[in-house]
Amino acid sequence: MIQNYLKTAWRNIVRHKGYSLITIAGFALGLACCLMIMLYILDEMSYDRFYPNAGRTVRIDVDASWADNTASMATTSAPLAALIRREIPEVEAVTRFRYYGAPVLRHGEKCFSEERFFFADPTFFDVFSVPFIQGDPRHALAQPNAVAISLSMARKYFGSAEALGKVLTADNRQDYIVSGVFADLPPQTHFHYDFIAPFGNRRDTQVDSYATNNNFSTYLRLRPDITITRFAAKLDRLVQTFAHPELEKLFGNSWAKLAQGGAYFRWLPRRLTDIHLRSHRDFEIETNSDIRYVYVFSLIAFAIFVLACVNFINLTTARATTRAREVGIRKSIGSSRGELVRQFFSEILLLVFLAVLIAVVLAQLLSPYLDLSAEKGVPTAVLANRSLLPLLGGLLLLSSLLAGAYPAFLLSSFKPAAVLKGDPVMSKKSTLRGLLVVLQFSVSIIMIIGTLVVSRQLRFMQDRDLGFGKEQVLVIRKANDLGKGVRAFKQELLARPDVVSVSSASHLMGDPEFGDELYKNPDAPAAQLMKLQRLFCDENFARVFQLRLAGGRFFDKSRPADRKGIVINEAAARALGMSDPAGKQLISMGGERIPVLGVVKDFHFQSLRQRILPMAINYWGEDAFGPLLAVRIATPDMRQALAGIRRIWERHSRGQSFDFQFFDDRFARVYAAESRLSGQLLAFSILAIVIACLGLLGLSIFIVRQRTKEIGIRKVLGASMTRISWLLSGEFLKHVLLASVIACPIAYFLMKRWLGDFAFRIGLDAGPFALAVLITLGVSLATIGVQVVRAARANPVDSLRYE
Amino acid sequence: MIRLRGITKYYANAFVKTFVLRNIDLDVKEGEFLTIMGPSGAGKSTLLYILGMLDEACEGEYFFCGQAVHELNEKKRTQLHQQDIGFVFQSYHLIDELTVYENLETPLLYKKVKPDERKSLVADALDRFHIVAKKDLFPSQLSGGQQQLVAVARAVIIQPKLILADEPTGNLNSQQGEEIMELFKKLNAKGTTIIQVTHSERNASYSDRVIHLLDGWMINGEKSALPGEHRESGKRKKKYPEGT
Ligand SMILES: Nc1ncnc2c1ncn2[C@@H]1O[C@H](COP(=O)(O)OP(=O)(O)O)[C@@H](O)[C@H]1O
Ligand SMILES: [Mg+2]
Repeated sequence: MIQNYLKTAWRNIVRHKGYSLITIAGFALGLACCLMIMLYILDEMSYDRFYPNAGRTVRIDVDASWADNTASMATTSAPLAALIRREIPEVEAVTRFRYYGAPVLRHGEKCFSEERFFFADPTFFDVFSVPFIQGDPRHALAQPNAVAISLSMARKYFGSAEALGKVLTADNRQDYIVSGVFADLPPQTHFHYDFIAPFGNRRDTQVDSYATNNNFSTYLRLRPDITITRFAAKLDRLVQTFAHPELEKLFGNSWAKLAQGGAYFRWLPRRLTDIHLRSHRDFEIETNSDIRYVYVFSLIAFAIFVLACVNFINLTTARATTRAREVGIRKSIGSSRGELVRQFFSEILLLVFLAVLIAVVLAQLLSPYLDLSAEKGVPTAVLANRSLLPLLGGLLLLSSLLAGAYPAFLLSSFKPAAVLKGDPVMSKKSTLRGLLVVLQFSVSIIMIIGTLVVSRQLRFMQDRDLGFGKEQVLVIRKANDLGKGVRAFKQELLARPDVVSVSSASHLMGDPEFGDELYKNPDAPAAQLMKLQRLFCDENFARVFQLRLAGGRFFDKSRPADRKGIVINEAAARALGMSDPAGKQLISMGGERIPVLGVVKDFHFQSLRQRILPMAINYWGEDAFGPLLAVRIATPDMRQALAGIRRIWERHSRGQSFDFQFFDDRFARVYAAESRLSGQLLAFSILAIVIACLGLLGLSIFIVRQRTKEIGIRKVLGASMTRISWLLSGEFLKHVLLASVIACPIAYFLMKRWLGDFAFRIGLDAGPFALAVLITLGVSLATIGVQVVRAARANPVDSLRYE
Repeated sequence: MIRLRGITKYYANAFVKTFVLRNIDLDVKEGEFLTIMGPSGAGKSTLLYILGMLDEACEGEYFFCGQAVHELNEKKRTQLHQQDIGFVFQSYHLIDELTVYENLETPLLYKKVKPDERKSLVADALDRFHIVAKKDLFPSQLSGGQQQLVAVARAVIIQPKLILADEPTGNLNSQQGEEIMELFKKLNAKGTTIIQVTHSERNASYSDRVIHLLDGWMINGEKSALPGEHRESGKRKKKYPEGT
């Protein structure tokens, strides 16, 4: 029997090629998207699970608040690790690590700057148990000058030669001996490291404050017999015994009083496997993803899936008229309704199966463009994915059920007596079908509005005057490797006519994080310590970035005392309650008096997502050799300037590579998330509207066919072609207009919420809404146009005879 | 074998009730060959569909081989119909996507006949109707007469007790029509009950008995239905001009 069904089904597909193509292709497109999104989501959920004891591995975070300041950090103070080891026996292993910047490593001719170089406790590989290919993880960090490196780094520096025991020289200062080679980490981890070296006896690891200097990442592994809640309770007790007394001393008040004023200080355990999606703290090792993306994409996948199913239902039921006769015949030769339901199900299963096959191919082809996993840098290999088969099975089953049930039951319900006599099987007005089309267009319109609003906000952020000049600035990274030589380098740069100014700096605008420092204003009535973002630079910084002064002056190299002073921004002046700060003094956390030399006008040193935070700019002095060197250039021939600067670098750098960026490119990463979102939304909107239009196309073929006779009669009665075209188009456009009425309020609500995240944002006017509706109207008119015009132009004699 | 009592069928909408069949009483004996005649729209097809259990009467009783069909549910009716009834239509109604062989096979599949038996039954039918050479062709590749031949073969392949034929020769030329009627005659001789709808006196002459429908009324029912009566029905021809 099933053979008979599939034979009929296959021959039906082949006979109505165009129709089958629309049905299968539309469905496949939708499925392909779902598939890509689901693989992306699975990938996001799989982070850090490759570690054998991932479920029991925990990071310690710090939450703190006092006065108007809050801090939520992914790092802790240095002695916490040892404290936990001592006080909580249910902890099997603890380790700390810290990033001190990217050293330049050299082995013979090979010389690279390495971003993923961390210093750690010798217990590092006990907590992060990554497989070792050479060496022993237990002793790899025993010697002070040891370094454990990843396999790909071993290959990079030593090729196929044995890596163990080889020497890597860092920054021409320090030699490390390779003590172990571990397997490369998969992309799915929140923490990528290629080099782990022991702390040795670095001073910062021995600071004995529990509450301040939260500079270390602290990770540990719990015994299986303790829950994370119980562990959290134990941490709470530790914080009370060890951290609170320290803070009482710092703020000169009892903890009870401080807590009453809203202050808190907490140590919080965070599961390793939660970090990638749920942790957004200061001092994360890498920028994490967001569980909200997972939700949003799940929603989009679901919406697209529903759209695709709806389409499928629409198109299959629209063909009911042609299938009705077959239903009649089969019933007249003894088919029961159940048999027919089974027949149509197997037929739909065949269609869905074909669609799924095409979807896999489409997904493989499209995934590089959809760019879901941009930060991983590699397109998800759809075909190679382990989860693919179960996913496909699920999709196949679910979509056959969802898309197959209604058509199967509808088709099998036809009364043979009626259909064999040729009665119309469906009323002209199919409310359900109409509703489904409205639903599809609502989703499309919402997506188009989303795309328009997101791209407008993006453009707004990119075009806005940020309060500093970001064009024509070259950034040279790792300039600190020149050491004292940086001064001569700077001078030679300035000698070039196309170089306007050069400045060393610790951070630049657009960096994900700045350090911070606490200050209080002694003149304010209730003097509180306030957190100011901190940036170190030399006296040329304001000139290079064209900062504008609101009062006082910037640093002056001829006044050595300026090294003690700071320049603050207007936001800091407001936060500290100073009306005219220039020339006044602030008190630092250590109790020192810090002169305020000047105030710069507020500039956006972070994304427009955020309000402008209070900032203190510190002076390094003239001989500063910070990691970043910003060079303002004024020339029409940037290429030539760049080549000249490179030559100067090469004279000073003793073979180290010239690592440069244009500042505006570097700054663009601030909006990487938004521009990715905008691109993805664009892709999904196009997809949604393509699917909706395929549905509309199917519907229009159906309606036009049903109304052929009516159109013929109207023409005989003298209706013009234009008139008939409008009559038919009106039918479809009604759907689109209704969809707009539904979609606009929903989109307004969603976009309002999205924009709410931005401290600086565009207003939500009618523009994107009107444009989205117009686009949808235009595209759908174009879709039905061919059908409508063909119907309207048809010779009435033919159509009447045909009936 | 068939016993209709007070069968009435109407289509109702909000304003009017259109009667198609009114109070039909009819008895058909096993092995009978009955012809239903009447103008277009008289309700002949409707009556045939009701007899074939593809449609339901609004009122009245229908007994088939002693079973009260009007009381059965859809599933039971399908079973009954599947076992005992074969249909032949004016416009053949073969399944376009299936070959001749597969068309013949389908009713057997629904009846859940075993593969071996199925094969031999289909082979027999192909043989009997001289269409072995056509078995792999699709309906669109056959002439009307050939298609109707296949349709008849499909109706008889399940060895039904009753064959219902709705204007089976309506789309055929007279020679093809003759062939089909001869076939029916042979089947009837072997004991199959046949009820046909036709406009042709010539076709009617093959049958044992003729009844006439007009506007849903049966105008010469049981009482006048005597053997040989059908020859007289020719006289009524002018009174009820044929429709299409
Ligand atoms: N679905 C329906 N709704 C209303 N009237 C119908 C419907 N189907 C058939 N009829 C009417 O029933 C009458 C009988 O039809 P039918 O049995 O096909 O006649 P015949 O086969 O004798 O030509 C016709 O007048 C037709 O208009
Ligand atoms: Mg009829």
